[in-house]
Amino acid sequence: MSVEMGVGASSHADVSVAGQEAAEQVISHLAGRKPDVVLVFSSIRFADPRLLRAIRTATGNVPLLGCTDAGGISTSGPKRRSVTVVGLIAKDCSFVTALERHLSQRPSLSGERLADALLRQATQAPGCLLVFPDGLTASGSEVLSGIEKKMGRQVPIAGATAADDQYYQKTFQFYNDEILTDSLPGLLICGPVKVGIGVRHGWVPVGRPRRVTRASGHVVYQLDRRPAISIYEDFLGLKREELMQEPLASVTLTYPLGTEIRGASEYLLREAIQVGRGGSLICTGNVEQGSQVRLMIGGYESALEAAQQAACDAVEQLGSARLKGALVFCSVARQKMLGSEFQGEIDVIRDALGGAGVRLGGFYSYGELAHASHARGRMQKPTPLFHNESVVVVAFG
Amino acid sequence: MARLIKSKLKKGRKKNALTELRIAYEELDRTARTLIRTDYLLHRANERFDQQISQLHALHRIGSSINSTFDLELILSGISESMTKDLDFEKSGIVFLEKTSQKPLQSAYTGFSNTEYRLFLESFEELLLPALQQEEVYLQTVAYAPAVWGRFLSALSVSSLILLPMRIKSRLIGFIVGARTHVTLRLSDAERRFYAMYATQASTAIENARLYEALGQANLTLEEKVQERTKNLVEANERLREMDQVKSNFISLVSHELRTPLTAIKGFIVTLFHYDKEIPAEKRRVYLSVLNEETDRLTRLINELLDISRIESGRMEILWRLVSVPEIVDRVFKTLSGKAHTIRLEHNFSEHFPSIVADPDKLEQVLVNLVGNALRYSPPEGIIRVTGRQHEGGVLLEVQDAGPGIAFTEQERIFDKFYRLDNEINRKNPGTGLGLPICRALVNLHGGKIWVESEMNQGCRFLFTLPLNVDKGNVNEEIEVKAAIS
Repeated sequence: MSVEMGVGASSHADVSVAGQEAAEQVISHLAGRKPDVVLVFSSIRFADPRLLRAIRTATGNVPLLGCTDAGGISTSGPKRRSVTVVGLIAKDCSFVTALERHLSQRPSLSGERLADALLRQATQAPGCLLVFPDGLTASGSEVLSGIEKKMGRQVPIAGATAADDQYYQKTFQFYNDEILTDSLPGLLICGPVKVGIGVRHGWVPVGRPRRVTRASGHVVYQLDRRPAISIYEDFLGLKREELMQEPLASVTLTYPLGTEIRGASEYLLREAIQVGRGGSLICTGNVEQGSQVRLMIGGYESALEAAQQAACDAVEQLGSARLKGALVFCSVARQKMLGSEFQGEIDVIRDALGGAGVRLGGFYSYGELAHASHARGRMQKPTPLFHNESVVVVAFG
Repeated sequence: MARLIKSKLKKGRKKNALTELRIAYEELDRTARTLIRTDYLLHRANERFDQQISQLHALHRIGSSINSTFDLELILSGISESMTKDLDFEKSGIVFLEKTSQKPLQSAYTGFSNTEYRLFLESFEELLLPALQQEEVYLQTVAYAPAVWGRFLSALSVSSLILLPMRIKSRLIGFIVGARTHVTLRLSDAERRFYAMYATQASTAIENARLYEALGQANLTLEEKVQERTKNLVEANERLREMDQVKSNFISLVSHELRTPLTAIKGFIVTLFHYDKEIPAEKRRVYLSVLNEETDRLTRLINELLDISRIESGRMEILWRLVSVPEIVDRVFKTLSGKAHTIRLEHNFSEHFPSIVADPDKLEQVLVNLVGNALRYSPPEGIIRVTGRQHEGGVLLEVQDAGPGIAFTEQERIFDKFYRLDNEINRKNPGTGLGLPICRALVNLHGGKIWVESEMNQGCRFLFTLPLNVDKGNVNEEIEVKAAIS
């Protein structure tokens, strides 16, 4: 036994009451004990100091971190416009937390600094890292590359980027009493922790591949020597002005770009969130120049199968350890694609993890962080990756 | 040569195959585009459909919540909470306007601090009212607002604010406000239509509640009026019943009081008439004495009835004279000394007891009545004491006896007309029950007050005040009064 987990959720109209309700459910799950660390995921409606005050009044001043979301996930299922609180108690392991501000200035360096800060505090060997960076101000890929540089490839990394109820304007991160933006909070679980991580999406390629003829970091300038936006103009039959009228992500969420990763079972998806100068596409993760990209399409059944597989992958990695609970970070694209049936995906995950009694906590995000799942479901080469349109299941044994 | 031809043919076939493949590949790509376009349109339609369902759901929720009550306060708080819970506004409120002045009358809010909400309402005339008259859904965001609105939104700590006027037959009855703290809102036509419908739903619920309240108020007023009239009727009926009872009692009493002496008088007269010569002289004297007493009793009864009738009709005249109360008391004692037997009659007046202006006959009547009553109740050898002293610019007279006393609950009732204490003495001595009411009326006519103080078995003290009534006398007597006072 490494980690015990309690989960609470509320969508009460009053911010303070919502925080208090959710925190009290956590304590009740933990049989009256206060957690050692608290994760908070909430709609931007609850991005209010009163929320954190109410939660900390109930849980005590233990480390708290989290972010705003596009819907919460708890044991009772997914819920939009809610607050989800996850409380963790360490068994033979320990928790350390850290925060990096001004993420957008140098995302990679922020990742390095966060890893440094966490490792400095750790008194046991690092077991698993959870991060919740701003989903709009920096590339998740760059943040991860910085973390990997300091943390190495042996420490499993999982997490998701903050969201803002699909407004794509501003996300917030929570750290103890603070509500911040453009930040990177992180939790390192140290010691002999039993963690399994699965990540899948279920999207499939359509149409012929396009060559990335010009790209830099998370900006794709040209595909097949044409402005990158042309792929959406061609496929959707929309003009550039029409595509720019509403958040681009509302379109590209459903039809992301996919790049092939050698040995991986699925394409790595990239979601464009903005149209840049000259018709470039600004993505939430890096796209390599010279690689080939495909337009991807998701389907109800393949998405549910992928969710089930991600859960199975996570449980498989636990080996003989008994599942104590799981964190689920699910792309908002999946919520959008599944429409009113989006509850079904969480049901599938819960069933794959063991049924109704399984404790779940998490949120709908703008990007997910985890190692790529390989063809046999094992992390043969533990390179942390930034994903889009994916579901990450972090199982604790 | 043959090999060369063969090779060229092979190359040509390969080229053809590649071209065909390329064409097929392009066709596949075109098919994929068609597929994606169709899928995209389906998705959009589905999204719109989902959005409409969720909006209808929100409307339904708010409808069932606010239409399930006619309590205006519950409706206002229900709408405000729904704005937060169903429509994501971190801060929201609803304001109900006064009908004629169009100023905020009643409101409910969620999320705003008290200071913010006060500030919000203070800007009603300057900012809000003009905005409400402009559009069905009025939106301002910090990013695009004119300076005055920008400052206003910053002061409220919000990024976007929408105002939804509520109208009934084009009259503005109030408005709903919703504010987002972090989000810069942009409203589609569909969203604007939804918010307008939301405001209409709220207006209808509020108007229904107002009509219900008005109806309830009207019913209440009507009910109150009916209850008041019924009460008045019951009271009037009760008064009539009492008056009828009083009249019946009066007739019965007067008949009895008249018949008793008349029967005695008639009996003795018949006896004297028929047996005049046989009756001895001594017995004849006794008969004549009884006849005299019964005639006096009849006269007293008739006088009392006449007195009370005159008092009630306001025809009782007071003949103001300068009088010496001790002298009147002496006269009364003399009149009643025949009935006193072993009971002692005493009076005690303070030094410099003043003469007063009063009707001497009426004052004597009051004292005769009070001392007469005292004699009736005093035990043999008892003392009846009449005292007088100056009191608050007038005089206070007191008639004290050593009788059985009067219970506290009866002390006021004995001044009611025809009321008589139910005791052995009264049963033996019939009377009209008019003596004390007449006393009270006569004292009142003099501008004084009369009351009784008593405890059971401790005797009674009848007290009455009389003003000096200097202004009532003529000039000469006035001088005498002043002289007497000094």
